Amino acid sequence: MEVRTRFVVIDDDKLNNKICTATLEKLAANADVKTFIDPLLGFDYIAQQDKATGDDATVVFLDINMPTLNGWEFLARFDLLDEAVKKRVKLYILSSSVDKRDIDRARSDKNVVHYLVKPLTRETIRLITYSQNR
Amino acid sequence: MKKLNLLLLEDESMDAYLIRKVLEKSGMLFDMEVIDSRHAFIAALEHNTYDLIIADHSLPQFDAIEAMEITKKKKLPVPFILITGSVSEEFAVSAMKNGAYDYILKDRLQRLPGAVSNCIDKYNLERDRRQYYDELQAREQVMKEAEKLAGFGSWKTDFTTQITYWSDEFYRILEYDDREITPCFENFLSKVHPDDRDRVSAIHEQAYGGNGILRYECRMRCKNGAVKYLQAEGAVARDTGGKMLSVGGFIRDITAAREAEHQLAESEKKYRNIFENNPIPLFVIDRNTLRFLDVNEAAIRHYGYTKEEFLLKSALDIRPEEEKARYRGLERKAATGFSSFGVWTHMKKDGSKIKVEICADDIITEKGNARLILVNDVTERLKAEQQLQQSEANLRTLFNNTETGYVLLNPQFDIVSFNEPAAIFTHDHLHAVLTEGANAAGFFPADARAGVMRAIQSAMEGISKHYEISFSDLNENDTWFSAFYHPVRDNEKNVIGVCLAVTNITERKMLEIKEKNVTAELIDRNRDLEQFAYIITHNLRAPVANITDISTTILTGTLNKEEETEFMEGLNTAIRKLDGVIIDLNNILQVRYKMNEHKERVSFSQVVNDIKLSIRNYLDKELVEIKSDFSEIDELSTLKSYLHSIFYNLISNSIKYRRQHIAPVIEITSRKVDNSVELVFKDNSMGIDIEKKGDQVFGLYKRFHPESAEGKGMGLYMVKTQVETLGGKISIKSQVDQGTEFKIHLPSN
Repeated sequence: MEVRTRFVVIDDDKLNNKICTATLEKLAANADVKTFIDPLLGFDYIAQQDKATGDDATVVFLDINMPTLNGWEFLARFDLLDEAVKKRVKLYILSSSVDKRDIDRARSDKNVVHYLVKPLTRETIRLITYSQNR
Repeated sequence: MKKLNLLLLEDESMDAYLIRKVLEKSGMLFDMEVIDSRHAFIAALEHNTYDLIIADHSLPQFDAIEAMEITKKKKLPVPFILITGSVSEEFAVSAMKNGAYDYILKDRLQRLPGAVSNCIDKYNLERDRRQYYDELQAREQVMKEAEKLAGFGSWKTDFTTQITYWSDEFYRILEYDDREITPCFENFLSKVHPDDRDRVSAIHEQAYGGNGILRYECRMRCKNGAVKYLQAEGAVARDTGGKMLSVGGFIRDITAAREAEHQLAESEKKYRNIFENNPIPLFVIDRNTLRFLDVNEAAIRHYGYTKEEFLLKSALDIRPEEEKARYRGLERKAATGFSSFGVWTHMKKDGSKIKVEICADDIITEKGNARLILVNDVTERLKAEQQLQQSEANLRTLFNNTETGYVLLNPQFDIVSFNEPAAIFTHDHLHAVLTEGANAAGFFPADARAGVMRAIQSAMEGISKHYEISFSDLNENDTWFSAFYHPVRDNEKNVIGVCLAVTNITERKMLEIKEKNVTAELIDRNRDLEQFAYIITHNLRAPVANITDISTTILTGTLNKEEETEFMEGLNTAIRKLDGVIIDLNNILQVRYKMNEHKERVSFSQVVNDIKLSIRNYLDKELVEIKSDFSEIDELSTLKSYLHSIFYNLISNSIKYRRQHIAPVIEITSRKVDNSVELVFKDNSMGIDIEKKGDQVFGLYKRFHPESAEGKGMGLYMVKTQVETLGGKISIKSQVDQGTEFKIHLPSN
């Protein structure tokens, strides 16, 4: 049975958000996709996730290189949130950077599930939704 | 019979005649002087010596009794015979008592010659006896003196009377100050040292029973507690029957001799000790045969011969052939006190040769003339001295042939020594002539003196100092020197001076500077590479990822017309973005390449005017006001393109990040600060939260205003890079909604 998955994309690149939405909607039926250009707004939204309905997790795609609040600052703030929120949020870094230092740093963060390099492929999304539904 | 000299005291000439006749008649040979007064009597006694005075008792104003008193007073031992007419028994007794020998009555004068003769005989006998007695007395006195001088004390015991006699010296030796003590053997024995008493008693007993000869030594206890040594000798006298009559002898104080002997023995022992245990090899050789008479332990150890082997050798045997002749020439030379005989070669038993310094003194031993020889092995010392000389010569060679200048100072900072390079350095750079004995302080220019003297003082206190100095010539070419100040120490590690070492290090310094520049350039290049890598992994990747993503989505063919148009536009944006990044990369590269451009005089106001002109439309549209004041300084020798780029970026930033509905106002001013020009750009833009973002402001592709789409995060990075390339610095002050102020310092020369 198909579970409706909630996706949150936080990236200051509008075009990227558009492409992500389109891709996610094509691949995962009933996907609920939310995009944020301003990471601060995105963070506020995520901080409320423990109050969201249903048991399913929220999958977050987080960019690193952003003004006002970059990916690393976002992660630092996220770590301070309640366990209830953290449990429901599956954080993925989605960056165009192939810089090894970025990848290593993301992997060392216990709240990050995986580091994904743009573009977001169908295979990746399938894997994510599969693991969510298991 | 001797002719007598008589004095007759008589006033009656008849009587005098009779007396003369009576005496002549008896056949007596005599001269007789006749006097009749007291005055004449005294005069006669003073002028002549008489054997006898014959006096008439009854002279007027003068009588025989008075005459006798006069002679007695004068202590003249002249006998008197009185002649009287008639005499009472009483007078006669009184006259005899007063010393008259006889008295003759005038009517019985025939008795006179016999009385004279008797009197003379008796007086002669008496005189002889007295003379003998006096002589004896004198002899005894001499004996006493002799005893005293020789330290003899004599004694004698008469066994028949049991009386013992001790001489004065005997008393003195036994320290009996008074004569109260009875001279006897027991009292002598009580003075003998208790440890010797029994022995002395036994010796005396034995002598009495045996051959009667006493000869012994004993100790005596002195009053002051010291011990005296006595020598006693004596003999027993016996009658023909062998019966002991007396025993006598003498004692002698031999303490001084004993002590001298003792001291002699001590000094002999000491000498032996010094000889035997002396760490320096010592020989005693016979001056005639040159044979060894004695050698000490050190000599045996040093030469390897046993004492027996030595004693079979002569001083020649321990010398190599080549030195024997020289030794023979010298052996006869007498030593005057302990004197040096110079350095010689000796051979040890194993045949090895050693250099020794010889000191010798001639001595007299029981074996005859000898020579005491003291051997000081100087082999090592000579070797060390030779090495020292060699090393000194080596050092001197080094000192004079090195490129480093050396100056040695004594603790007063006077120049003790210096080498040629030091003199050249002083001449070329301190414009002075180095002289030995001069004080070092005088050679340094006033502004450097204090520092140099501090360094010297520090070295004097044992701490080395080092620094590098440069001198510029007329062509502004720098010559670099390294200056070392080292303490010079003696063997006890005390600082006894300072060594200044000056080395020309220009070449090394130039290399260092070159190396430093190369390193700096490499660091720059590396940073550039990192920036490139960053740009490629982030900023170049981003549009490429977008393009891949969009094109993949379009290729799926699931998009409707509207979506397709939207994606195509997205694709276009991404491609333009990609192009933008490539242009940026090129710009960054340009910054480096432009380094090669030549500097020129650039006017700030000119630059601002150029920019105003180029973006005139834009300024008009946004109602931008640019106020500038370059009255203090308007020109700078710099790279024009850089300065233009800096001004352009800062001005366009102020406009890009203007506050909504507020017309941008930009103020640009310049002023001189020390050796640089300070440029201030102040605006009324939205500002940045410096507290949070300060460290990122000048970072590449850092953006702070997502809603202002124009920003790529490139401008400030470029500004900073260019300012730094020009050797300047940039800083920012900003607050949200309060505007931003950039301060740039550029070097003005």
